[in-house]
Amino acid sequence: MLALALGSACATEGDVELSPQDRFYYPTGLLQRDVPGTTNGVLYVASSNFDRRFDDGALFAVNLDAVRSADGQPLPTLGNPPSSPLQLTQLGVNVDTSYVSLQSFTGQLAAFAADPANPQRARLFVPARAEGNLLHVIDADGTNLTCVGSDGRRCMDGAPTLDFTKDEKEESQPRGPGPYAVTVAPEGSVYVTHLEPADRPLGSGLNLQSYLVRVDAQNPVVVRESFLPIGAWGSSDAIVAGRYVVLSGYTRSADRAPMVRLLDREQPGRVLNANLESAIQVQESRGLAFDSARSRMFVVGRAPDTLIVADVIGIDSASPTMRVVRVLPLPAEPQALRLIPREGRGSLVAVAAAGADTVVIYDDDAGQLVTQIPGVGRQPFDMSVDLQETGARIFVSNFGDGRVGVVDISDLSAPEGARLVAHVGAAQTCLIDESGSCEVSQ
Amino acid sequence: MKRALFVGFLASVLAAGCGTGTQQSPARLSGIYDLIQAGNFLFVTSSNRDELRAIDLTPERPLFARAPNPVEPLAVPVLKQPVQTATDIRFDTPDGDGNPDGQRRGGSFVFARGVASTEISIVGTAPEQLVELRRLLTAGTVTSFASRGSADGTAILYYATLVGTGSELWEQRLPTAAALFEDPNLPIEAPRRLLSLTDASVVSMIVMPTADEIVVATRAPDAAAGRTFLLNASTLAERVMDFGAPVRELATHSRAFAVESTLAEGTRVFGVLDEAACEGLDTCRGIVAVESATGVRSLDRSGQPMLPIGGGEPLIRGIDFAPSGTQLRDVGLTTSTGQALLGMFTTSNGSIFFFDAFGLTHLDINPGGAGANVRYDAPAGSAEGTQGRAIPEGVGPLDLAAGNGRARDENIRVTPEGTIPGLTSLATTDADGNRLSAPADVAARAAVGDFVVIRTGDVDCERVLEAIEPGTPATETSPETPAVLVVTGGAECVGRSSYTVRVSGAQPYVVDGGVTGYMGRVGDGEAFEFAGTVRFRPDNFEPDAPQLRFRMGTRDPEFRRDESFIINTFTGFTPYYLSVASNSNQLRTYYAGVVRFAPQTGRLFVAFPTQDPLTTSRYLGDFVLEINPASVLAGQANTADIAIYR
Repeated sequence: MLALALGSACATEGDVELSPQDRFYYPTGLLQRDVPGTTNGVLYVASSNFDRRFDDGALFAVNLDAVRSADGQPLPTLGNPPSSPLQLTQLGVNVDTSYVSLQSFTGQLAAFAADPANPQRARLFVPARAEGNLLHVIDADGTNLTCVGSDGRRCMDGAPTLDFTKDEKEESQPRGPGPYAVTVAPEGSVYVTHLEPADRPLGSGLNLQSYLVRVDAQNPVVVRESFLPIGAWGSSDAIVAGRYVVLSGYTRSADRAPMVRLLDREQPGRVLNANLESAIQVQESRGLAFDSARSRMFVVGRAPDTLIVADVIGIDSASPTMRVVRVLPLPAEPQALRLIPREGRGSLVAVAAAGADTVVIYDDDAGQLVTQIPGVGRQPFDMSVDLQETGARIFVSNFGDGRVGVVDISDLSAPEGARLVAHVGAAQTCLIDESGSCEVSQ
Repeated sequence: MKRALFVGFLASVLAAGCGTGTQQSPARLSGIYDLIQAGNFLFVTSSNRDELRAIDLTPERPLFARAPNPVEPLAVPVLKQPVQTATDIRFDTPDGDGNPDGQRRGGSFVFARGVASTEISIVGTAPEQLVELRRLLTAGTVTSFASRGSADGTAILYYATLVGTGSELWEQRLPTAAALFEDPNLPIEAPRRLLSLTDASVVSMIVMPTADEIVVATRAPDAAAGRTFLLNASTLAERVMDFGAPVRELATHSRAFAVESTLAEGTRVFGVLDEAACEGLDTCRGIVAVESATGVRSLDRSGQPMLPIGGGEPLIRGIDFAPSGTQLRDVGLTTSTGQALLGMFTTSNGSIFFFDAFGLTHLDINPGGAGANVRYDAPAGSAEGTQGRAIPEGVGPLDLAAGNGRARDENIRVTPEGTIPGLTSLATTDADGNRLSAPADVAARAAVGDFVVIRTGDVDCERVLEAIEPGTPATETSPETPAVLVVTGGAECVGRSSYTVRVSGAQPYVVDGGVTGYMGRVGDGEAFEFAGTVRFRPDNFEPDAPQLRFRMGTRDPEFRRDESFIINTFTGFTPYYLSVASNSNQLRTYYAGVVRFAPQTGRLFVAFPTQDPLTTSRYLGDFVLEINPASVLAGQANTADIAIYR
């Protein structure tokens, strides 16, 4: 059954068994970009190949105008929701141009668009935690993907590695095991976090040190100076806010990680602790976002699962201050967080809760979680927001079922009207069905 | 459909379970975001499992209500992700003489709302009715609710829903729990819309003892515009409850008795101020009470309008009250004392505070008073190190006095020729010549004769301040007009980048508090006084004493720039607080959630939603701690006389 279900979708290249080319496979990072000539833009999605059933992960470039349901229906436009969510299982991807192989265990995805005159072009960055601890670099021209540093379709060949000193047993730092989150500053600095701290000597578990790895988007080379120390704790999310890169704290031990740290981009050796712990204690933090004015910060906390809202003063100064002003309970295992700005009003914040298979929307004007979108999919992982005139469309990668949920907020002044309008990609029931059945839904 | 068969079975199981002491499986709570007492049970949300659990308070040693399989704790499935609960409150239970006893009691229903949900679960609280009796589908996302019970067992549920940018307030009348239990299809009245609120969401509601009266707290897009009002649900008349700031949680109290006075139930409305309403400033932190009859701020035991009662930087997570006579352990002793009205709240860093809700003050566990001492602090890089040298006789701040109620725990620097806060590292260019622009609101801190140190390249160009031309601070309608500092020979300082003003002349010492900030300047032999503000009213409160007072002695013969006197002031005041010791990763107490006091046990129950299945080696679930106030150790991490429910 498994071979039958997957075999038709998979391809081989020499001895390499590629991950599926007609659907996403444990998708993680994703990004929607507006591309001239398209109505709905292009969706870039990383398949993480998390169970390593195949040899590689992958990156897709999906023209959202071309996706179709089994009966030929396209993705509806914002404000014209279908009576029930459409299952857009046909991706319409030309695998020769819009699919490249990546290392397994991909994380987030970020883009740098250097040329305003060619908005369809962007350079994409995808870290991956499998062998090599790579930072993949891919040039995208609409739906055409090209590996940077490699002539072929395997972007792991020639990708910069964060295993900078792995072969030096005694002097095994700096190093970035488990690269995960990535963000790009407007001027083109790419910042990559890693989850696991680097030990020294290698394998000792001693002298733990974590880094924020900075590379130039135009010349993505990892050198010793790329590693900016941030302390012992790793980080699962990063965001550029003015003068600083703001980092969450990640831990897999019983010890608590610092909730928010700030790396001073003007003095990269300077790392500030936002000291939110003086107000609230959580096990670790996940997604981060700032509002448009950068005067309010939103942080996902774990254990307790909470949305933490802090007022921020002086984010461009040498001594910014952050003060927690609100804490709200969230559904289980909240993960990613994305801001949805509103003109003249408080922001909306979308939070993906992996343990509850839902996305919730927080309205900063109401100070409340105003709605949640059940049925978005299994284990929502990451989100990308497409702002449109009066509304927004949220794309949600569902790690657990292989689909991308599409949530529309047709009127940003009434976010309680948010609803699931479609799933892009085929649901891989073998990932969610404990019986082991691997039927691909249509 | 009738449930009689199930009723009898469940009742017998519960009765057996309570008496036998049968070993019970863990409830594996996950997502304890609220607790509420109703009937003989304390209901606990297990949000991630879409259920409520119930702790039976009737046995001497409370335990989870048992499921039909008595080794399993009973789960009450409800709507998805329940995060808040309410019960139908009554204050009119007859006492021994048949008169209302004024004690707040939960009733025959528990209501649960979920995360951003349009539904409300209605659960019975009688042992044979511990099931979801009905689920209401409302017209919008439910943001808050409260309920009033009655002697006949019926109830009124008030709830608020979001509608676009506004809210609607509804009244839902309910038949008895028994009627709903007996007939799941029993029709209930349609809800009645009481109010429509424009550009506001309801964040908290409570019912008051007086029939038809509820108190409603709202939040507005302009956060400072949130308001609180008492509403008569019958006449729809409103009365402003003036907390001085928006409120995010409301509470009221039972009838309370002090030695010579009685506080009628519901006399006061307590509100947890909304920290988000004013950028987290102290004016929006803490608990404030207003008089329900007038809406004005309540007076504390000193006869003054009460000061906010808070827990510092952490956010208050829950508030409750214990009835008169509840014993609280005396500080440093093994005895305990009955309290007239014991207030309690929890904070987001795991602390539990007790306060005097009758006298409206913190309970002070520090027997000492405010005080101050002084030492020298050597300039940076000097040979004395950080301790500084001994202060010569008659030199420096003398006759120090810190006022009880105004003093702060901080170090205050008194610095010779020190830099003036707000007038340091200000931008200047050569084009400014002798006229330097300064912020209008702080320019008055400078005085003619002060030094102006202009940074030119890597060297300082020091000049004297000749005159000050005041500016005008910015207002909402007009921009700032900066002040101008006129500097003798300033134009000679070329290649400049910034400037700093240092005090000199008749008052060559700047006084700067580490917490308070700029406090003033002083000269040799002068008296210095900084009034400050009243922050609390301890037992030895000195209403007229300033925050800091001292007399500056004679000038030190070895007077040196930047060699600060450090005045350490302390409040001598510590609110009654405690925490619970963590027990490795199996009992993580760094964050305390909701607190509820159960009168029939004399103990408080605190939720700790802190367990993480991914980082806890053997996941036992979130937990509730039962704490005996008569045996707690103030100011410490407690370990004794605490029961765990998980």
